[in-house]
Amino acid sequence: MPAEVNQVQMWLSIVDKSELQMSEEDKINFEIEILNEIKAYTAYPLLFPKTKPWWQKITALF
Amino acid sequence: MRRNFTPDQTLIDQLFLDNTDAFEELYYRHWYSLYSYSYGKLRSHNDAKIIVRNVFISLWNERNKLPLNFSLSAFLYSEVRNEVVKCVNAKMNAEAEETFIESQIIPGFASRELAKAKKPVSHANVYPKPGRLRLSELNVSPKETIWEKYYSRGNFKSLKQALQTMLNF
Repeated sequence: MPAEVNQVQMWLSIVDKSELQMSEEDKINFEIEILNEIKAYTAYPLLFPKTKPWWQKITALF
Repeated sequence: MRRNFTPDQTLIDQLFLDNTDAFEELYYRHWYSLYSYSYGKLRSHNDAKIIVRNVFISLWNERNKLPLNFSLSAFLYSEVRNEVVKCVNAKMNAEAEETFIESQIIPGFASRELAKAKKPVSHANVYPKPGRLRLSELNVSPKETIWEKYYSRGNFKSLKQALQTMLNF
C-alpha cells in the first residue's frame, strides 16, 4: 500500500486536537447540537424510526 | 460513556440497511476529529460546526451509492477538505473578510504547514515497517508548492485566482 494511502487511512487519528480547547461539557453540548441539526436536515428519525428493544415491547404490554 | 467496538466497515455495511444507530455511532466516533481539523484551518467554531454537519449529511445521503471498496477515512478526508476550500472561497468573495483571511487562514495553507502533513505519520515512527516508502524520499521540494509560490509573493489576488482555478477544475 503506498504511503499516501496509508496516511489518508490514518489521518482521523492523527488530527491535532491540542489547538481546540474545549471542556467536556461543551464537547457533549456541541456533539448533541450538531447531531440534532443533522437530524433536522435529513429527517432520518422520522423516515427510519428506531425499533424498541424486545424487553420494552414486553413491558409495554403490562 | 458509549462503548461500541464494532469495526467501521461493519457500521458502513449497516448504513446500506438504513441503520440510524450505525450512522450515529460513526458520527460519535469521528465528529471531533473533523471539527478539530476544520477549526484548525478556519479558526471559527461556527464554520467548523457547519462543515461537520455538511459532511455527515452527505454521508447519510450517499449511503446507498457507496462503492464496495469504500474507505470512510478517505471519504471524510476529501469531504472535509472540499468543504474547507468552499468555505475559504466564500469568505474570499466577501471583501470584509480579506484581512482576516490574509492574516489567519492563508498561513495555515503555507508550505511550512503542508510540510508537516508530508512527513510520515507518527505511527510509522513508532512502528516502522521495513521497506516502507517515505514521502521525504520522493524529492518533493516544499518550495515548489503552489501555495508557497503565491504566498511568498504576497500577492493575495493571484492566490485568490489560483484557488478559484482549483475549484473550477
